[in-house]
Amino acid sequence: MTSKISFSKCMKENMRHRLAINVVTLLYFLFTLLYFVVVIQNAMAYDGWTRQEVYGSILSAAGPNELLFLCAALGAVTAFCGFSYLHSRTKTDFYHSLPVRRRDLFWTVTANSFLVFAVLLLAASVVEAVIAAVLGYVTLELLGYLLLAVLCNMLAFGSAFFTAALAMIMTGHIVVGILGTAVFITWAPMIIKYMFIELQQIFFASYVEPSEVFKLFDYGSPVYLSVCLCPTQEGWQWEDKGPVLLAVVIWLVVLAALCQFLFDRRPSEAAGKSMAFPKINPLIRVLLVIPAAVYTGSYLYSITLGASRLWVFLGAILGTILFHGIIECIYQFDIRGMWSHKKQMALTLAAVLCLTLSFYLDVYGYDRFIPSAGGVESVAVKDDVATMREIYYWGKEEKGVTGEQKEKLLTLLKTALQENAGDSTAEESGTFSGFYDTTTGRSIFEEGKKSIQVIYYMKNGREIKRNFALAEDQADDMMEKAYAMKDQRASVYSLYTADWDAISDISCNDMLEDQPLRLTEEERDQFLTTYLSELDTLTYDDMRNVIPTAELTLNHEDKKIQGYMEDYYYIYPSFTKTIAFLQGKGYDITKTLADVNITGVEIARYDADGEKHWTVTDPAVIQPVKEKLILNESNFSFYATGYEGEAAASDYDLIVYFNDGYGEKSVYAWADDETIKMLTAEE
Amino acid sequence: MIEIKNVSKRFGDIEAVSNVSLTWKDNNVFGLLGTNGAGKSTLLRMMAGVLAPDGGEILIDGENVWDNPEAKRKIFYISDDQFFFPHTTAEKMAEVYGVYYPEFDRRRFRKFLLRFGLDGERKIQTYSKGMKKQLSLILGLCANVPYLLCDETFDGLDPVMRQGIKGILAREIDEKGLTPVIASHNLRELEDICDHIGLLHRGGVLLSKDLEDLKWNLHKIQCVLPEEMDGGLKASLDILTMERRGKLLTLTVRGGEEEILAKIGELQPAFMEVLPLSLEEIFISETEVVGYDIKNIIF
Repeated sequence: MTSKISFSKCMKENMRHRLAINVVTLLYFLFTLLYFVVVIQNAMAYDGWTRQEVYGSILSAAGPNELLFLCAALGAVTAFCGFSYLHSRTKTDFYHSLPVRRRDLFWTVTANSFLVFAVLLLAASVVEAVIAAVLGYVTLELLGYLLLAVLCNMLAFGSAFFTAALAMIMTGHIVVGILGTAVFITWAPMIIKYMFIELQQIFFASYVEPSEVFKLFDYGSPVYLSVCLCPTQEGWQWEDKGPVLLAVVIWLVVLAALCQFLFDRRPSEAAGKSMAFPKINPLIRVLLVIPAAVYTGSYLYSITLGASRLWVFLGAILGTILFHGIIECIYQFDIRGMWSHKKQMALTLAAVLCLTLSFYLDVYGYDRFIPSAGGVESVAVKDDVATMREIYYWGKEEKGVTGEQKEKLLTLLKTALQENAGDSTAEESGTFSGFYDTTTGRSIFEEGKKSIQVIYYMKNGREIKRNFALAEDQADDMMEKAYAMKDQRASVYSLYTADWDAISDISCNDMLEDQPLRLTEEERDQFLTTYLSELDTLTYDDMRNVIPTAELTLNHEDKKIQGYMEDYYYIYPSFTKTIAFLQGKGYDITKTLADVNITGVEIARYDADGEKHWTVTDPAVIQPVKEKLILNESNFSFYATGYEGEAAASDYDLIVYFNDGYGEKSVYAWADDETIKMLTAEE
Repeated sequence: MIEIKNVSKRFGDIEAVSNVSLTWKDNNVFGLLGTNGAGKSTLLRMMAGVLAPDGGEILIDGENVWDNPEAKRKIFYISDDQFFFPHTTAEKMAEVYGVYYPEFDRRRFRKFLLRFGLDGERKIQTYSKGMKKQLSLILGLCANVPYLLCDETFDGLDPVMRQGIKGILAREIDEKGLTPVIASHNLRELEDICDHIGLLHRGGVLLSKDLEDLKWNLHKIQCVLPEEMDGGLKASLDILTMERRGKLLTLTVRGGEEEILAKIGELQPAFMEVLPLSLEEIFISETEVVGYDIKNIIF
């Protein structure tokens, strides 16, 4: 009868009716160009910025960046606009009665959406390249970054477009479509991932941080993955981003095929209803109700300050009933749907309770886990302070202790855990301490307990961390033995394995004075070798109970962040060779408050009446007590060891003011009861 | 030819169309009648390829219509609430349909616009409901397709316009072999245009017959006879309804016209004449035969 209608004609016709979204896309790209120009202007406006630094800024603005998020948002909005007709009976009647195959209708909208985005993206990239060229910054590397940005932006746009399209196809109402998109994007990498993390935090006493395995959940959402293509501080790393890029491409193909498959089969009568494929409604509901119920339980647990884990179960029951009802109301667009499908609700509740119970009973053996020596490459144990030092670590990859020492450590751990079995597993404390972890609601401080973190570096490349609360004596004993092992010290203190040539400067703070050390390379090596030889002899007991004499601050180049970082080390009174070395170079770090001109002592007293402050400035009062004032370790910038010794007079804080010839300075100090009496005599 | 074979469609728990089989002859006007919710629109939307039947098939000239552009190109579907792009004009809508229906006649479309007094450059959203219905019909007629599916299309048209459109349809049938299928719940609207009638009720087909066949076998007679002859009449004729007002008797009788008139003539009535039957009356009598109380169904 007539010739076939060409796909290009359909595209042309469709293009005429997408003016609004085309304008939005155009505005987005105008915004990206503005962003690019502003970044360049800012970079060039900084006084003292080198050409290389400006170029670095241009590179990051030209390459994949934070705008990937907006790109994904634009993709979703484009899909909402393109497929919103599916939610209107009038429009569906029109489009689906036209002599065009359904798949052609789908691909017409899709192709036009991608075409407009791609053309404007390429145009914007060309303009960016021209701007960079005009400023004299265009290089092959920059052009490569621009192409990479084009690829990443297309992937972010495409993944969000197909995700939103899938949601629109599977639903019959725009609001449900938008909700569906949000669920598709967040279900795996956020809703489910954090549900398991939440359960672990609540029920596993030895929980430290999410396992690397949880990153697999990120691969459940192409939109989340594509936004993750944004480079980190370390720049674009193909070894990190390559698999993500590949996963997004695979997702795009799968989503496109799935969208077309469902689009072909989508019943037109679904327009105006909530869901287009009612047969899968129960499955979707269960997949949403389970995490929602767990979160409700977790919320109830946290607002009751973790008083009892039974709150988690109660919350889970309430959450199941509530969210099952809410989702059913959405399905039916009727509040009376709240109590429908009671059998399914009961089954979902059973699933939620089983899941929660499995964590409560630790059927996974999480808290009891100690690997066999054969499967472990190395083990590291750390107390709280050593754990805090992790962020400053710049040595070779920290791996803990290996070989025989590793087996010894594992045996020590087994013994300690067996003896602490009742305490180290998830038992309820039933006490109210007033200090709670904000995420777990669990008491931070437990009387007579010490937290030890264990890291098992497995032979299969996995890193498994556990946090055990051991009896204080036992924990100290274990840490004492661990620190006696050189591998253990090397895992905590970077200096053992770091490249000393990366050190740009060293300073030494004895609380009264911060002195930059001017040392030649040889002197520096000699100094650090001396220091480490004495650090080798430092006992765990001294490390915790002796107030250091001074603190070394090492400023070093960090290639990972392409900048400079600091690292801190304490010099203890027992480090006589180190102190002598410094004295030999003219740096005296043994000064005390007796050696300075004290101008005043501010005293803070804490008692039942509250806090009271006053300052003693009378030299007649200060002079006799000068020698008895002890410098407080809190003057140091970093608690490298965590002082556990007794404060001389714990009800008082002292701030000592002194003049060192360059102006007035202040330090925190302690004093014994007798000295305090002398200082407060005239109060 | 349009063939509907054992077509069924459910919307959740509701069976909208149940095992319907119908056949359309070309160049005939098919009236699809039924109450609200009888399944007329659903059947029409399935015929237009909008809805997929749960069972059975709908063939247009032997081709299944579902997701088949070749078959759908022979159909133009006018919904009861036709979609027009926002901020668009009649001319632009014609342009849109011109892409999908390559035989679309733009010259004829402009002629029709003039004849109906519609401004082609005016935004459609400013049209009245009746004007939109007119525009839908004009677009359908100018698409030059063999089958025009109209869902409640004559609702909202004034009587003059309705007659005008009926005239155009009749000419299209004669000149171009158009086969309109008109769904409506209003019997009076269709009786002077339809050749064939299909009556849907609760998703099923109550009857599907040529209007002439229906009329040939059913007659309305008015005569003047004394009351004592009623018994004789009832015995000799297949009377469906009988109403007496004094001596004036109105009968609906099944059978051949000549035979009925002969039998009444034997009783020597003072006056006798055959009155035209309305669709309404035909349906009342026909459906009573199959046990339906049509008064409850239709009115």
